[in-house]
Amino acid sequence: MTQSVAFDCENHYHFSMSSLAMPFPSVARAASTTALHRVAVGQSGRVRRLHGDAGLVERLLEQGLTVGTEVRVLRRGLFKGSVQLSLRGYILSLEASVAACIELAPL
Amino acid sequence: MRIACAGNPNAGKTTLFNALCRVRGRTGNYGGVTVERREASLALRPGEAPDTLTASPTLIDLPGALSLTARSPDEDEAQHVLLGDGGRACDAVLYVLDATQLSRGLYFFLQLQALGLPLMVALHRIDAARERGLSIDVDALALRLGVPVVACAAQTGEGLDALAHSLRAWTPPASPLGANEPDALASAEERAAVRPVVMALQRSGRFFVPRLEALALWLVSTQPGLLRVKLPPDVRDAVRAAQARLSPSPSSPLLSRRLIGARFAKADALASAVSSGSKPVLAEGPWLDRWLLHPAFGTLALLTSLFVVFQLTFAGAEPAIETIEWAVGGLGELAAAWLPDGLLRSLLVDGVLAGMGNIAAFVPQIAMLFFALGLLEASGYMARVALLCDRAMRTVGLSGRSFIPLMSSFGCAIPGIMATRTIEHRPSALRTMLVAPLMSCSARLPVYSLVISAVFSHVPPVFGWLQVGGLVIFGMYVLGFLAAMGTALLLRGFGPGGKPPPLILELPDYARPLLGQVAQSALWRAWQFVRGSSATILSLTILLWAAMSFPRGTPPPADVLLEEARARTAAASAAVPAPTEAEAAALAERLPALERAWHLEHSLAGRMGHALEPALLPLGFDWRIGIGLVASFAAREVLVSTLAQTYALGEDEGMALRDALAADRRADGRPRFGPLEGVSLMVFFVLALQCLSTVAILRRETGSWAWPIAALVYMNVLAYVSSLAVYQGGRALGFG
Repeated sequence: MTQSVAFDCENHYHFSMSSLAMPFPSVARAASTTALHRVAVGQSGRVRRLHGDAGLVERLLEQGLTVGTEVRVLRRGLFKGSVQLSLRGYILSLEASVAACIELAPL
Repeated sequence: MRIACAGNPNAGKTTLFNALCRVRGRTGNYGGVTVERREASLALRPGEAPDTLTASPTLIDLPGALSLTARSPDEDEAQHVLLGDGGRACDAVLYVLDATQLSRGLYFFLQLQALGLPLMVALHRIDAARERGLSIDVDALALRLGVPVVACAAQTGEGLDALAHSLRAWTPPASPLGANEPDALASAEERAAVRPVVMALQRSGRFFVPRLEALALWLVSTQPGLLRVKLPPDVRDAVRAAQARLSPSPSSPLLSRRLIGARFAKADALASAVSSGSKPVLAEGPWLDRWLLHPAFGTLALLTSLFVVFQLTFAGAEPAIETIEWAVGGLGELAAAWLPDGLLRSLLVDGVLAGMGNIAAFVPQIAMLFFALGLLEASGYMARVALLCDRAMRTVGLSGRSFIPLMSSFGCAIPGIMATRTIEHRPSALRTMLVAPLMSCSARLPVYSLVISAVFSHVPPVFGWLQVGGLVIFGMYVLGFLAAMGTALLLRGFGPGGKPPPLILELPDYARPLLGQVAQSALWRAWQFVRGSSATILSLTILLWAAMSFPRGTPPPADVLLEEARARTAAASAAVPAPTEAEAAALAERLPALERAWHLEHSLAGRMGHALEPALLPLGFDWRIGIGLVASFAAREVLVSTLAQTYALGEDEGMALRDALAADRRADGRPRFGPLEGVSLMVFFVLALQCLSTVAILRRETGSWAWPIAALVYMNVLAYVSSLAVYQGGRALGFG
């Protein structure tokens, strides 16, 4: 992972992930990423990219969601309003709109 | 020596601090808002001999933070102390590092080390790390970090002796150790750009940080909105110039993000070098979450724990409150026995003692509420409550953490407003504070019961079994709740701060709370309330006493007073017959009460009541209620005793007051106080802010008079308009 890709986040990317691509795209498309709020419970991945407003991205980075960090989806809240993740030895709950700003690549 | 305890939220700083220290609180005051800062000297461990030559180091408990960047008032505090803003606040830093989350905790550590601050690491929760099968080489960690490291666990007491000993024996190095980060992380261009900032910092001498270049780099890379320390003008200009010079281009990413990424990379390398058996992600969360975050069971558990919390707070505190009231009453009687009847006695008993009683009566409730909340917090459940309530609260512009303060306000708004400190988003916290007094608190109950017994006791039950009084009271609670939610919604649209930010919440491990510690910090909270609000409450109570006692005229002779009273009682009947002997004797017995009533009516408060009457008549209130409204600023339930006084009844004659209210007639023979007037009065009490203790606590928690005044204005206008609508609407519809 080069740094220029890693810190791409000030540009606002918009991804049109097919909702069929769950939990992760097939092996042939292993290089592609999935927005975190679409990742199935029990699946893990690595943070590939963050996008969104600068303050939010910085906050997420300081929570330890830096590029390359391994993340596992533990549970989803009521009406899929939130996602609970495990990373760096602790549990973090993110609102779905925030989770949507995080792209995971398969391990 | 002064040592600040810093670390991530939930790393266990406060637990460790409490375990190491004899706690006595102290308050720091920054930026107008009083933020609590706890300081205490390091306590002797059992078996440790006191050292008479050197003073014990003082520990400062800082709020948890992710980094130096401040996103809540709590984190501001950490920023001020660690950067030594405006004065050296600490000589060294004890960094509390959670052993189960090494790489994450090391990030903030590296940031502090870059500034050159002398550091020691408490590798906390080592027991939890072992339980997870994680083994950490403490010596290797100390070697790689270049600072002393002590493994410990406050829950079990493991390693605390060693930590206390190391702290006592610690002589922080004079010159900073560890890599000079700007060398490694910043490009030549960036270092050149921050040079003027370093010079300006040197000139100002404002910050006590060994490595000014690292501080300059941090200042330049931090978004202006997140910088809470006040910079001297030339430093600020230099920072702006450097930011303009380094403004990011697509090819060079933001300096701040590069710094975060580089530090985390370093933290990851350190963590993997010193620990083994670690899995960065957990296979699953705690099994309790399966139940406590479940849509159905979780909600049930939430409601049950709420019920227990409020039972504990408001029923559990009841005996203590009664004892305090009994003691205050006893002191009043004592004063009455020793002092002659007159102004001095009145001042002491009705002013000073009543004010102190007001303050003391809140203490058990506050202590109990914070004890219960402390248990929830220490057990790890509080974060789950915030998560469960966030969605519902967010729709009205509040945050998940607003839920508990709002619910506690059903008991009393004072502890509720104090509990808003846990809300990270300041505008949401302010909005919660502004709407909390609308929740129907227990001080309104005596007013409801008086009105209900006076005007609804004869109304037959609905469906033969539902008491109208109970329904009306329930309606008042619903009204208060809806008004609070509606106001919050309005404030979201027009008020300060906009939407609360999306919830990013850590769910800490569940843990068994240490009861002694929780009790200690609850008592400390209660003491904070006494310290912070007693002056305001006491002086406002005395002011109110003065308004009800001055100016002092001479009451008319006894026979005139008696004649007036007789005429008033008999006003309903057309003819006024001469009194019988027995009636005259009964009247004469009431003479002192009649004189008191006369004094009250002619005091400043009485005149205000009369002056208010034209404004209150459209609401269905007469001047007596006007006086009652003025007096009820001391506490809402004072309305009852004040009304009794204006009807020249003794102070303890609640039943008699009910009858007097029910019997009072207008000139045309209609009851002066019927069901419509009663409902109008209750609606007014639900919505009006008539509690100077609430005003005092709002002043303290918001740090300015603007918010309490805003609350006073909006709530009382809302109350007036609503009562007006109820009364006039009711009249138009033919009720009353």
